[in-house]
Amino acid sequence: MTRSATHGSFTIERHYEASPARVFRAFTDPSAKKIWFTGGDDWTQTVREDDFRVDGHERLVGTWKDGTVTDYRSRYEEIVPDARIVNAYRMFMNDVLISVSLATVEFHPDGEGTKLLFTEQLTCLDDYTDPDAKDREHGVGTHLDRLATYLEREPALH
Amino acid sequence: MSVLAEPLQMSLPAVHQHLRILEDSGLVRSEKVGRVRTCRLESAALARAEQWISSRRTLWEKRFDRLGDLLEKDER
Repeated sequence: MTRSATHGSFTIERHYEASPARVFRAFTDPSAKKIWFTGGDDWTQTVREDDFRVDGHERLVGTWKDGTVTDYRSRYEEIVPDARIVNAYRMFMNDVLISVSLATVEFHPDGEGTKLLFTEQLTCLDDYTDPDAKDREHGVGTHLDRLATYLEREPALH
Repeated sequence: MSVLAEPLQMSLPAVHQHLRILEDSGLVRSEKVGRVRTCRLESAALARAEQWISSRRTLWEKRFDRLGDLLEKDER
């Protein structure tokens, strides 16, 4: 196996018509969090643990429709009620560590509601494959399109 | 090879040359079985990481959609 580490980051911004306290509560109340913090329709939960405090661990394990098992293991680094949550998490796929991330959730008052900012900085490790077969197919198609574009754009090097 | 060349406005030997350059740079691996040469992208880490990052982003976007639905429902 080739050893590699590649890095990326992304930010998602959302506005919710709810106070920062209410949005924050959706992260701390287990009955609320289990509704939105999931893998989605193609995913079945097998383990859920959440010790919401600094240095506390959160774990979410589930099986995807194609049989892939993903395991989210997180540790809370900072919690500022109604304002900020920072956690570091590892993602395992079929027991192989595929990424290590730092996630920051910010809750900003925004008019009557909340502007939520989610920023993830991640290091992707080694030779993983995507959990979603559809994405995988799409990804391969995209790669091939990119190759075709590359080949078209580059003048022939004779 | 001819499959790869088909959509491109260049000759088969030109495509071959491009692929050789890509192969030398480690971006593409190819294997010849009989008369058929099969190419696959080996930009591996980078391409897969891009893909992974975008699927991770999608995962979180769906989560925040569900969070929005939940917050709306709770209000009622």
